[in-house]
Amino acid sequence: MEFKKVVGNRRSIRYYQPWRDVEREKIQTILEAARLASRVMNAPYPKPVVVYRKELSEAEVNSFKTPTTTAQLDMAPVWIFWYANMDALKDAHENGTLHGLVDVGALNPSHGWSHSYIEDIVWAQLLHPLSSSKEIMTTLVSEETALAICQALLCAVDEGLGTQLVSCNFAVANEMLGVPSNYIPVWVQLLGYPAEDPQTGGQRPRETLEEMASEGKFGNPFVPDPKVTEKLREAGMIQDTAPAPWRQAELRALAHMLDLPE
Amino acid sequence: MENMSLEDIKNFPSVKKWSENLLEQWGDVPDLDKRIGALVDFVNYVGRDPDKIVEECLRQSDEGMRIKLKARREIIAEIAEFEKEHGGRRAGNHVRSFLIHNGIAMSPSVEAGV
Repeated sequence: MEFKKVVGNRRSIRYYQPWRDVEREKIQTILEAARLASRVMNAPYPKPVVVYRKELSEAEVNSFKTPTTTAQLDMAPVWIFWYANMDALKDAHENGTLHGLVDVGALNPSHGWSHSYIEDIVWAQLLHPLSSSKEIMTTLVSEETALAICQALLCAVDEGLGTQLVSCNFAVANEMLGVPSNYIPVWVQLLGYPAEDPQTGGQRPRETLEEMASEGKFGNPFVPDPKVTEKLREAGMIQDTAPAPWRQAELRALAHMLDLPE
Repeated sequence: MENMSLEDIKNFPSVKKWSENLLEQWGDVPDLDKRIGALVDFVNYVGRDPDKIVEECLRQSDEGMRIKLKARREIIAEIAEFEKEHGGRRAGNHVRSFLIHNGIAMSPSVEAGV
């Protein structure tokens, strides 16, 4: 699928075909997309754990649930628990990833970078003190892991899957999955084949581009060029806004099929 | 609490709210009385009126209405017990719908093998 179409097609899918497994090849592709996401200082922030619902007992499945994250966990055959590594900066320093950016020509003298700058200034005076602050690291590692998750979401759409981010009972998850204490939970990404229309009857209503973005100065709206907007519409990035006229009927049919409340 | 009838229960504000929300959500609800009937069975089963059930699950805080998590867990368990003995999953879902449309979010399990 073209990139713009992938962006335009992405929705949070809340109804999955519980009977249809996800091919392992697709999961691997999604994880690779996440691994290749932007990450500051090339540090290892994301640590996903893939869990297959059918390999868990009913009691185990139920233990992950919250009162509002129940039906989705039952329906989605694959759950990716996204954890963030609180020691990512320390790890990047210890395993040489920071210096590696100089070696591979990513951080160069043309921009002021050198091995001694990284060691004596960046690490010693900036990253090392930062890595000792729980508050700062929580924000940093969550945000950096979210960048990886974003690519995983888009890749799932590209693979023809439905996907959504949900919460769960992370206290149970941490214990059951054997997660070390230096990892914090960010999201659970559900994967499965959609039981609902993958475009869910249109894009969610959002603020306009000029309401979201400024140009030159904060509050000075970035006014979109209608020709570009039209091009994006043709490419499938901008689509009709929900709801489609048939959406309520679809939701009712799904509730009947899956035995869910109306 | 004395057993309630369909007509008794329709006058409760929480039931009116549910009915109005169902109609607003779905346009028409031809089996509305059947759905309310499932709620009648439930309130008679637990011995508490519908407004009381909703009130038990919510509390007013400085930031607005909040859900009492323990009370919600208890009512979810009561619905699960109820549906085993009275009308099955469909009846249980009508009771869940009553609570959901009164602001008490919940989502039931789905049989993975459907």
